[in-house]
Amino acid sequence: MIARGWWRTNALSLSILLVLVPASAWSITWNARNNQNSIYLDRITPNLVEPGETTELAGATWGPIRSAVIHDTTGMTVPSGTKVVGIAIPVDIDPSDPVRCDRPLLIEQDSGRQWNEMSYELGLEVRSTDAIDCLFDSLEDYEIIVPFIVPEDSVGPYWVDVVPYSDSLAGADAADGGTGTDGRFVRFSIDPR
Amino acid sequence: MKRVVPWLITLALLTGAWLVALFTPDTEDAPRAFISSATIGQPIEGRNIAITVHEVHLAEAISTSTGWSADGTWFVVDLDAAAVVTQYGTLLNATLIVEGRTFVATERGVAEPLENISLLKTQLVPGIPKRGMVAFPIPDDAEAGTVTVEFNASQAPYDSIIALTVDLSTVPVEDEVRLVPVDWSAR
Repeated sequence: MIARGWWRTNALSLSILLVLVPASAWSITWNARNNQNSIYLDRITPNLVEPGETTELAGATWGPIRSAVIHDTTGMTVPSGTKVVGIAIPVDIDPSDPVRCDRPLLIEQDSGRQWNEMSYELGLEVRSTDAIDCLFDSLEDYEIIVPFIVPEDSVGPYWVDVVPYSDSLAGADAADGGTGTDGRFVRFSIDPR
Repeated sequence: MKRVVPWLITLALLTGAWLVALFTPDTEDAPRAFISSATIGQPIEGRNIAITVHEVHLAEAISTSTGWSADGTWFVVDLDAAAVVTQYGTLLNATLIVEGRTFVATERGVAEPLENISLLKTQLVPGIPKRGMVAFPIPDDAEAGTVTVEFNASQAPYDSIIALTVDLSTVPVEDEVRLVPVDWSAR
């Protein structure tokens, strides 16, 4: 049994520990928590978009997203034991400052499993006017439309992540050109049927 | 008693530190801490790589459906490969280790247009395996020994490695193995 006097003598040290121990736990797990999103494409802070809603990021308005499990896969090469999830994201741009972004990612919310868009693998022809990522050259609004392949047993809801980026070739001065590299990204929640 | 206790604690801490130092892998081995052994026909899963080895071949030539072929001593692995959690940036890497020498799977082979003749560097997809082959040219004198093929999903250190060890003397030598292009696994 430690005497009351011991606690009093060490009050300062103990109160510092009270701060340091939680701070250590927080900082040790910081990386793991962030990696959930940012292991690729600098995804740190999501702009979470509920079904039917839109969000603004990097000078563009994103959504509302449409999604569906595509049952008519005529003309597509679909692996056995899988299904195709199609998504369409309307992008309303500012023509004076068109947004750049990578191809959307699909993430199973329960497991965190992540898939890339699979237009090519499905044998779909992608023309230069088709948007599978942001159409930087477009002066008009457009829709990003991409298919994903997921295992038959995969279940929604899913996240769809779209990550805008800056034009690195334009140098650091262009970083305020509306596209975010501060880790913000658009995240839709979908549950396609 | 009061004098002895601090010394006992010191001794315990020093012993503990010594044990930790003893069991810590050295810098060369540390990034290779997560190795799982594969057996032919059995699915095996690591952090972001899942593999089923179907067959292994030893052959004096490899060929493709285009008529291309190459002589040599070839070790060929026919397998299913998939990712587990992430598709982004996940490419299959395959190396073969024989008698302390390490070989990368061959990138040779002429396939039909749009076909991939090797699973090497193909993108792995979570839960959706691809089937294909990887071929290694091995030294002629290695045919009697043991080889280990190591698969990983990209070459990041400290990540899962799946290792298949084969005694080459148990593998019959074929004249030629026809490389089958990569495709989704029929499962």
